[in-house]
Amino acid sequence: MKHLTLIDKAFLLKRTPLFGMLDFDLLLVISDKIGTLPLDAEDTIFAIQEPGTRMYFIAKGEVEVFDEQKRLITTLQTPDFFGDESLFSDKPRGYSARCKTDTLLLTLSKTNLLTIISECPQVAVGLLQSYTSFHKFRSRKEVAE
Amino acid sequence: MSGFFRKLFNMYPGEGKNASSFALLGFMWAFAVSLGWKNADALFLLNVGAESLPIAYACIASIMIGIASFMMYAYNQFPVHRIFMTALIVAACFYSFAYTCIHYNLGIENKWLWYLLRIFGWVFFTVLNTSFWTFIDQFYHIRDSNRLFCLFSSSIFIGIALTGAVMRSGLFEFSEICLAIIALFMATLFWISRIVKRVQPVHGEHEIDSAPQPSDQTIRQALKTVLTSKFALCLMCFNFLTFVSVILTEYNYMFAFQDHFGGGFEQPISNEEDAPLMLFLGQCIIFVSLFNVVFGMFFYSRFIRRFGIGGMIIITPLLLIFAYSGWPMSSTMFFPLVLFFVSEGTFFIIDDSNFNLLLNGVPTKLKYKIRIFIESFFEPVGTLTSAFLLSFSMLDSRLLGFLVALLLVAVGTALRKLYPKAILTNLAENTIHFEKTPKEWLPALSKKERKASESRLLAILKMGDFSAQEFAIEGLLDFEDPSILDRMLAVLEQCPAATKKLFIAKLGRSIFSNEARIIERLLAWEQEESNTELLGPLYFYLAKQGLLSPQKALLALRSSDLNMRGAALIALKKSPAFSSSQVAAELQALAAEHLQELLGSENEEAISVGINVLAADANPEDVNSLIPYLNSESSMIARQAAHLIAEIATPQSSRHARILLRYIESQSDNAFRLELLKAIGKMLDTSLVSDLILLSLHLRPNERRMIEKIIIQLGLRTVPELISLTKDSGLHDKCRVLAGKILGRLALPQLRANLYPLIGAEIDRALFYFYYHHTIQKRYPQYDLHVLQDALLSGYHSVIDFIIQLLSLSGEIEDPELLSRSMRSHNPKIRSQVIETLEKTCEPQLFRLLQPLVDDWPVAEKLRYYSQEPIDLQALLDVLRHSASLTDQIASAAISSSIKTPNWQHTLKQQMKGNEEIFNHFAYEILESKP
Repeated sequence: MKHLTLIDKAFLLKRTPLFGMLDFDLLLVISDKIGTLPLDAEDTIFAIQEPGTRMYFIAKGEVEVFDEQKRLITTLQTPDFFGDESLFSDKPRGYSARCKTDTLLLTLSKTNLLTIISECPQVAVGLLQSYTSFHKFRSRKEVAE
Repeated sequence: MSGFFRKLFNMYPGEGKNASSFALLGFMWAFAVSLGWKNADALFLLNVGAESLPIAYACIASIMIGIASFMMYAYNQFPVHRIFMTALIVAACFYSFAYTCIHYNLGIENKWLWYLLRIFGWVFFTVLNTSFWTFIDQFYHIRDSNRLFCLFSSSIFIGIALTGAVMRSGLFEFSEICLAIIALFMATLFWISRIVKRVQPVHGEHEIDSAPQPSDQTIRQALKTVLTSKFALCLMCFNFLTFVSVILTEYNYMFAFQDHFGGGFEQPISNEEDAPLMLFLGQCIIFVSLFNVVFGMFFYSRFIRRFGIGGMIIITPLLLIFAYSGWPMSSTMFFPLVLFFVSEGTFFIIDDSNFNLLLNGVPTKLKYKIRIFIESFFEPVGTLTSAFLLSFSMLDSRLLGFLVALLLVAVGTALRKLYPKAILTNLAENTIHFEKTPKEWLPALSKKERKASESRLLAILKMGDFSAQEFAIEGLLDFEDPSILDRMLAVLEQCPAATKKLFIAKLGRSIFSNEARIIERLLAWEQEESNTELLGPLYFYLAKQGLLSPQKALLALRSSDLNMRGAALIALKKSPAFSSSQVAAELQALAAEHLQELLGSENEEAISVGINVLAADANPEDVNSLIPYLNSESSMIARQAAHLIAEIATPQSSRHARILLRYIESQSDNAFRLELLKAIGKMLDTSLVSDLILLSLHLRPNERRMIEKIIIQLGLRTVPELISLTKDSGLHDKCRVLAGKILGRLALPQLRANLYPLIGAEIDRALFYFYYHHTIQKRYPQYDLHVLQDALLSGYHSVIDFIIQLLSLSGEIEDPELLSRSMRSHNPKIRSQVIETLEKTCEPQLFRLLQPLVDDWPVAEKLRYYSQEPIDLQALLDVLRHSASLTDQIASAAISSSIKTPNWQHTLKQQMKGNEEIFNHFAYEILESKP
């Protein structure tokens, strides 16, 4: 997979519901802190009960989300994001995520996400909008510590 | 007893078990590997001779280069403990082979066995040493390393000392030693698997999820990261020279020993354990290893605390200079023994330990790679370089050693200077530079990346939807690169009117607003276009540039399109350029009449156009007439008015400054506030410093940065007020930090001069909060005081934040918030970097005051630092009631009401007088709920 430039990352972020409303200059600054993670189909992104330190944006491909009984809850695709809940709750992952196809993920660490939220409140609003849009897997109970 | 040992070894409660496990691990592998290596050294001298050492060095170097490449690959692919265990298994197999050879007398006659033992003894030591430290590094952060790594180094030296004792005893045949080595390797394997199962590693932020770390670092980028890190380059250079020096030193003392014990060669091989050289070497190893053990266990960490890593770096180079410069003047064994002491002692116990600490300064993503690169690759290259130099018989090996020692001093001094900044740079990897403009990103891109980025933006502009086109236009204009304008205009030519309109809207604020090529293209669009959706903004833009004639303007004035009318008004106002003075006056009067009509309209769009018309004049007198629009219900109009005020404000407009401050306070729109702050900045009014600082409490980070910029612009006249604001404990800490930050930028010496008493008082405050957070509930178990405890903890963190930020400012750390933010991280690795940075940048006496609070000491230890006489709950609540912090006041009120302190209602009512609205709301709730 070809190396993503800063502009590529900024553009991918612009397509996400969380960063869509940000201007080019802010997107560029945030892109600098975004990691890219190319994965093959069937690769596990994270498992239930793992501690979470980063969230993921799907830049390409599809990701399946499973519950603790390994039942498929939902399939996510571009420009969905996931893995953010544990960053706020400080609890282990409440669901597992696996690539359905070859996938390119953008990753953002907890520290950076919190910094971005404090600087750009629009991102917090984006998160709230996403939580209210009722994704089945988001409404799941957090797995107890 | 256990407390005594903890103190002796600098351990905290609960650390002993794990630390002993790692120490035992260090002892086992080191004892095994040094038994093989040190015996091989002596056997090589006895059976082959020192003159053949360069051949052995060259072989070691060649093999290690291959192993280093493999290790670099392996660390990317496999867990560290697997690599460590594999290395142990291979080593055990090798000594099984050696045992077989000795048993069947293979390779003894033609000496290849001695070469093999000498070469692989070294190779295994290097590989296992790297594996051990990389393995351990997963379980400890930098502050732990400062305290505990010397203990682990010492455990290695106990292993080596025991080797010396075994050699000195002469009790064992080498074949028996081989069997012991194999058994020790097996025990080490078992111990590693036990540790892996029982001890949790300390992860970095990116090291947890099942998925691998983001793979942004290509080899080229990794190389670029290394090359741009002066510290990493310097560290690599220092280690390379160290390795060259190790070989030269070993060669020099070995030759001296061989000369001294010339008879050693005549000893029959079967009696090698009795050879004087063997016994002497064994004795030296014991003494030096014992020194290493004692120094490592009891002195290294204390020396590090006292002199810092910078002081420790140059000890070995200075000892080398001493030995090499003294040797020509003496024929005794003293100076060769000093070299032996350096080679077997300080290189290991000081320089190896230093290296483990210095590694924390290299870019975090490359830490392990650089460790392997240095330990596995530089060592062989250093060895090869030494072998090469030593093979020239005309070069004096002692002079070479002396010159390399001089170079070591020079590089070590540079390393010492670079270390504090390198630690901070690693920490700053988490910083997001919101202040960075797109233009500033350009230099960071390679030519190829820049071209690829521009082509990508042009492709998005060509193919994307409206939102994508907006992104592309912003990007292409923000990069401020004139070379892409023609291509951009060519693509825009094919775009729909809405995209062109968007382009015109963005163009006004870009540096290309007056660019001839663009104006030419806009004039062409004006000729070709009949759609008023585009013609309106187009006319407006051209009118602002003075390119719309009064004739066209008069026609446009009758248009139903508001933008066209606005454009006409601008053109009429600029009419003197086209008409006679009488006609111009008439046209301007007409324009003024229409403008009033627009501004007085109730139609939002009409007002917006009217403000834009005013903006074209940029007349400072208009500030007064724009202020009412700041109150508009339409955020668009309010922003536009704020923007225009920011554009036209001058120092003469300063009478409006306080009104603008009130608008900033009352509105939450970020863009609106920034524009008004920009306007205040242009008014250059020094009497606003205090108001601005107080206002900052409720502002966002970018708004606070703007205030900082404004006050810095006001210059040194603001310093006295900034000092008094920084010292004012009645102010919120956030305001004090901002005042201190600006003070640090404007007059660092003044900040530093006031720092010691300031920090001292704040440390007392922090200890107060900490002490009562941990003790108050225990003293009053009959009450539920968790609200109070939370408030005390929050107060403690707030004071620590304040102290850290002030210290960062005095240490000239660019982003003081970075340290306080990182200090709140859950990740101990990040917190330890903050403490290390503070230690390296602030005054030692200040750091010593702060250390009990910030270091990961046990609570009981920290509590001992609170020296005041404890007060009771009532007195504590009184203190909090008078605190500047709203949290303290609310907690005090809440607890007073819940435990019903005497007269709590009356006190609360008193407290409400002149207090903040939030507090009063809260107080009302309490009063109403408790009859």
